[in-house]
Amino acid sequence: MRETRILMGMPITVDICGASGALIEDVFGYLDRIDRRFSTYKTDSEISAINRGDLPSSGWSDEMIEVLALAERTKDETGGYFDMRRPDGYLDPSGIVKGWAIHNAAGLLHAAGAKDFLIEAGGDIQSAGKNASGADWSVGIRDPFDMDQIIKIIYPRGRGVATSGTYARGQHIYNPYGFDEPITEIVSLTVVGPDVLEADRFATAAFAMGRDGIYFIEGLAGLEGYVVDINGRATLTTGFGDLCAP
Amino acid sequence: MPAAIGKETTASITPPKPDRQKVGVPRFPQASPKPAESAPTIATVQPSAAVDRQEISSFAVTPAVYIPIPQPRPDYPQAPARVVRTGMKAAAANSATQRFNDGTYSGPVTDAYYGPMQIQVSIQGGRLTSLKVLKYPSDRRTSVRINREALPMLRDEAISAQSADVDIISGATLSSRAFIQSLNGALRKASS
Repeated sequence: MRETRILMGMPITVDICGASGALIEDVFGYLDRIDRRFSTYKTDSEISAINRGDLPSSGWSDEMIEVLALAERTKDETGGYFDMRRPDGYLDPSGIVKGWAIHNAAGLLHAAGAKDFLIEAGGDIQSAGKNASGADWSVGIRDPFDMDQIIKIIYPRGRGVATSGTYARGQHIYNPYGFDEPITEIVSLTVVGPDVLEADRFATAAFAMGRDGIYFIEGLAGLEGYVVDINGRATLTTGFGDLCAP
Repeated sequence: MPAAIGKETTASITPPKPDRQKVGVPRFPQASPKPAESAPTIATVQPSAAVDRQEISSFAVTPAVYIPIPQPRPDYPQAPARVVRTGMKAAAANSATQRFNDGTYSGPVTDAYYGPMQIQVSIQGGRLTSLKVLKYPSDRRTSVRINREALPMLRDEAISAQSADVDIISGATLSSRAFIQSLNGALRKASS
C-alpha cells in the first residue's frame, strides 16, 4: 500500500507491502513530529526557539541533541563541507534531518515487523525487502535536465540512496548565455550508502565540493556515487556499476 | 566574464545576527559520552584526501552574485547552465511578450529544502538586465584538497534516458523549483 503526502516541505512516499493503513499513518505521524521540532520555517519549532535564544541547551530535547551532535560529527568528517550554521548565524540542521528521520522511520517499520517497504522523501530513499511483485526495489535517478526522464536505474537492495543537487554552487557568478566555463560544475550527485542517513549526510557535503565530490565518495569505504555534470556527463565510483545489475 | 559589480558581499544583505543575550550562542553539548574510538560507520577518510582545516569564521563571506543578462546573441556553441536556463526561458519568454517596469524587485523567499532561496531582478529599459541571488540554498566552504592521484581513475559516461518503469525516483529538483518560484515572483512584481 503506497501513499504520498506533503510534509517537511516536500512530497513524501511511504510504500509498505501488505500493510495496514495504520502503519503508514504511524510513519507519517512520526515524520510530522520531526517536522514540528526541526523546521526552521515554523516559528514554534524547537530549532526556531533555539535560534531565537529562547531555549537554553539544558532544555534541548534528546532528539535535538542527537541531531546536532551528528551534524557536528559530519562537519568534522567532511572538512567543514557540511555545516549546519547558516551565514546569518542560525543553526539549520535540515541537511541531515531528512536522512536521519527516514532512517528512524525505517527502524520504526522494522520494529513493527514490516519486511518489505520503501520510504522516499525529497529524493532520499530507504528500502527493505522486495516490492509488491517480489522483485528488488528499483530506483530511477532523475535526469537533472528533464524532470520527466530518468537516466539510471539502480537496485539498492537495502542500501540507502540520497541525491543532492542545487541549481548553482553559490559563490560562482554565473552567466546563462556566456561562453565561459560551465557556471555550475555539477548538477546532481547520487550517493548510495549502508543506510539513508549515511548516504544523505555525505551527499550534502560531497555536492558542495563540486567535481571533487565524487572522488571524496570514492575514497570512503561503503559509499558509491554517481555525479552528473553541467554538460550531461556522468562519473561513477568504482563500485557503482554493481548497483545497476538487476 | 561578468564584471565584478562592486565589492558588495552577502554580509551586507543578510539580516543582522540574532540577539543572543538571553542564553548566549548555542553550544553543542558533547554527545552523551561516547568513547573516543566510536568511529563513524564509514571508514575514516583516507589520508590521501587531505583536508585543509583552516581556521575560518563560522561562515565564508560570499560575494553577492550578479548575473548580467546579455541581450540576445547569435548562435551559441555550448549549452551552459541548462538547469538555470529553465528559469531563464520563462524570463525570456515573458520579456518577449510584455514589458516590465524599471526597478529592482525581490521574489519571495522560497524553500529549497537545504535552505532558503531568494531572487532579486533588475529591470532597465523594460528588460531584465540582471539577477541577484539574495539567499542561497546551502552554505559555501573553502576548498578541500582531494588528492585524486591516490584514487583510481573513475569511468565517465554520457547520460541517457532509461525506461521509466521503476518503483521510485531519486532526484534533487527542489532547489530548481525554488529558484523558478522566486524568480517568477520577482517578475510578477515587475510586471504589475
